[in-house]
Amino acid sequence: MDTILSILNDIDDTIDYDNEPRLIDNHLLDSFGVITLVSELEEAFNIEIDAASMVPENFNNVEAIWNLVQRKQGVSA
Amino acid sequence: MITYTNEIYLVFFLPLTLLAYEICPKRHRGKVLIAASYVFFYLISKWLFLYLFGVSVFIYLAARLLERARRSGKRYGKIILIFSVLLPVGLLLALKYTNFIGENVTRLGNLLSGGTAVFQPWSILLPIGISFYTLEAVGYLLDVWWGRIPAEKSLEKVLLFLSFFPKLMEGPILRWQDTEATLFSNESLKLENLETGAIRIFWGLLKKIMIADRLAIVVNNLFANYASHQGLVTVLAAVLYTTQLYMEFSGVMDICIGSAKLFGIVLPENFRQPFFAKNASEFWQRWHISLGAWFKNYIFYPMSTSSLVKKWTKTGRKKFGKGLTRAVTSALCLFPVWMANGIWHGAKWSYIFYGLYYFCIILFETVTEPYWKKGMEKLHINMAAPWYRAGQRVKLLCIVFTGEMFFRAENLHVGVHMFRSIFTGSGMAELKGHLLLNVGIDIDDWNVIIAGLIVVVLYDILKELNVFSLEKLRAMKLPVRWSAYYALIFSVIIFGAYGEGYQAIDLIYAGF
Amino acid sequence: MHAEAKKHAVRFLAFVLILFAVLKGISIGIDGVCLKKKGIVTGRLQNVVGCMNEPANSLDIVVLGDSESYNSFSPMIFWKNNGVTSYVMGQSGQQITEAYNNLSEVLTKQNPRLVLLETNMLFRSPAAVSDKANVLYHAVNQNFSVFRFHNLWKRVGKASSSVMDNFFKGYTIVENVNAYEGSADYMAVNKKDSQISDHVRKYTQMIADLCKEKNIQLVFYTAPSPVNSCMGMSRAVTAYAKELGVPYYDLNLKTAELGINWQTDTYDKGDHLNASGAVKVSQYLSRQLAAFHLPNHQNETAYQSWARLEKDYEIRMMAVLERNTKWQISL
Repeated sequence: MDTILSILNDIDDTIDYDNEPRLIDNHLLDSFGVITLVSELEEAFNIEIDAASMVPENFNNVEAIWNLVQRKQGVSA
Repeated sequence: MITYTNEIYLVFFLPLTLLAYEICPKRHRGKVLIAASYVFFYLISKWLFLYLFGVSVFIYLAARLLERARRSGKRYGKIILIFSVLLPVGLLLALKYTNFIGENVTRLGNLLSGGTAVFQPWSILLPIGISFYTLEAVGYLLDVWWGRIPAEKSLEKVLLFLSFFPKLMEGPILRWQDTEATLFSNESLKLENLETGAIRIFWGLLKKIMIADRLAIVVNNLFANYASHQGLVTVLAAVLYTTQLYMEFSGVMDICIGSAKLFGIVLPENFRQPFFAKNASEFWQRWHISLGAWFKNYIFYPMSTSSLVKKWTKTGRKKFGKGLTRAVTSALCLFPVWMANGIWHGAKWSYIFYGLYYFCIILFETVTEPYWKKGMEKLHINMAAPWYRAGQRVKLLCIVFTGEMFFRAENLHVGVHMFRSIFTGSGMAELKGHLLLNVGIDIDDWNVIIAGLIVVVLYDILKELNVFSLEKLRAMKLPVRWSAYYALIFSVIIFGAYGEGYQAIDLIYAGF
Repeated sequence: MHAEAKKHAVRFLAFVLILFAVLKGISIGIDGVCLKKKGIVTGRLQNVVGCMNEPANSLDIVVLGDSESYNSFSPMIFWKNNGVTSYVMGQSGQQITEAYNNLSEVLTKQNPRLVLLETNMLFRSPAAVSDKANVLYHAVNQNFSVFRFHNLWKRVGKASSSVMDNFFKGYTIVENVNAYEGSADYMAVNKKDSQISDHVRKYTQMIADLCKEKNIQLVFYTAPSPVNSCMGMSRAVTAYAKELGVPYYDLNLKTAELGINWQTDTYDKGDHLNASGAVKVSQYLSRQLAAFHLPNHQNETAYQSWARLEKDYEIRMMAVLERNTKWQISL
């Protein structure tokens, strides 16, 4: 979780990630933010995020991102 | 011919469809909407509706096959995917670009051989809305392939999804998962929906027939006589065209979304106060949203998660550092998006230029953003300060106006000429010579345009600040609400550019 | 829930009723006040409104057609020669459906002996308007002037147009000269599709039926126009007129008899006639139409305004003819 938060803060530190449930739907994180996030996540957690996972539900908040990472770790483990 | 802003649609087609929909039993209402949509299609493109029907059946079957292949992990799934995506896209390209390619190949041949061959263009009839439902079909297939949605078992739903008349001519481009909740619910008509839908339609009519159709006359005149204009006049032509396009396209979207709302169907918004964006990339998240979203979902993200880009990111970081890697990654993902955007608009070099123009600007913005931010911090400049924001907006407006000028110009040559002409003179003499009263509309028309624009701009500001919107109007007291409705309806009736003395003006985006 | 639904339905009805009441109210205002003012309506509806404003049952001839009609037919000449009252109800680019609608509208107020139809309109490709739509437009236009004359707001508070000084019962004097330099034998070349479409036939038949019902003689004529006419069209109209049992005058075939001089008689290189051209056509037609034995109103007191208008017309027209033509064309 903390790793994700620090990655997110690297991308944009003006957002209160703990209290924002809809990062994508509220246009806080744009598509460049998302792809930066994806490549950082892949690097940090050693996972592969595929095209099928690129939906708002997976990136809308820290918890959703965490779930995504866990799912992907489950796949690669 | 039927179009969203004429009486045939508003007075006959829409009420009759509503009536048929309401008196039909619930389980047949989807069929009523499909029948109405195909009638709508037929009224514009005649028997070419068979094309849409064929594509719908094909997509329906392909999606089901894809799903089966994916579930059983069969290898042929990918082959089916490629084939089923390439077929509609290939047909779209063939129909739209055959003449363009033929012409340019002939020109190239002439250039190489010194010949003077002339390409005889074929007369190709385009089915209406092909650019829009082709994207919807491809999006649907990809989402099924990626397992985001199940393949639809009912052919009826797929037929309706691709043909639904309010979005048939110029979008918004639908995504299955965003519209299925209301598109297939077949609910009875509700006064609430009728009210919000109708008022949305009138709001769109106000933008389209009160403002855009008057500006169209001016813009046609200014662009037709581009060679005699310079400086401010050329700038004005670009500004007025951008205004016309926004009023027209967002106005028609209001009518489309309102029309669907009458049936209780919610279509996605296509505009979100675009001129409040702070940069070009945000602009495209607010302007023609459904197109930008389609490119993002089906080109940009797949590109960014492709093995090519991932490989580059891994090796690039080690060898070239973060900044350069980021720049190249952005370019790799962005180029196909903007190339596709240009090509999608049509077979013209101007459109390809338009796509590449935004590619360059957005790439530049993305790559320099971190450095820019650091620079601003060092200089202690507050990027949230009003003057800074204002500067950003002015810059964005310049970018948008220039882009639309090239987009509208007869061809790239003319576009370049116009751009240069901005700097070759002031145009003041022309403006002082009452040019604006000699471009096809009179002073009264100008007053209507200005008054209309003030209303729309005020509304956009209030909406952006989340203070007021048409949807919020419903919650207001009856006298306020009714006054607003009457004001809107009478403005359209009295100040609309229709009837004697005005020509009906074709929809711009229906041509793409 | 039921009461709620009822309340909503009542409100909805109230809203629509108020809307219609206001639309009708504005329409009545436009009809009763605005349209009575001379010169307030300009543009395409000028002739239609002008014709509707004539005193009831005061017209002997009503002319339908596009710009060829109101550039060739000058009612004042018919008054001077025969004491006949006529009005040109033509509009630029008139569609056959409009001609039918206008005629049925004017026949509610007038009972003319002749209806003249300029035939260039018969070859205009019809606007894609379905019959049902046309019926609706017509009904809406007649009952809700707020739609038809919605542009009147532009004229509010403005002086009446100076156009009206030159306006004589649907005919406007056009002074400009821009010679037609092409072949005098222009009828020999077929330039246009000479088919009369089914849509046009249908509405022309409706016009013919309407005339028959009201005991009105329908007459076709074609104004001389090198740009618009050819032999194929002439033959097509001749055959069609025969089919309908309607007299037909193709003045393209009579240019020598009329004395048309293409150097002086057109204002746009042979598309439309100017003042001197219109005089020649009207002189000729007034002689031809004498065969229909129309009444002479010259000595009737109710028609004194026609005599006064004719004086004004003569002064203006003579000045124009003097400037434009080397030969003095008499009126």
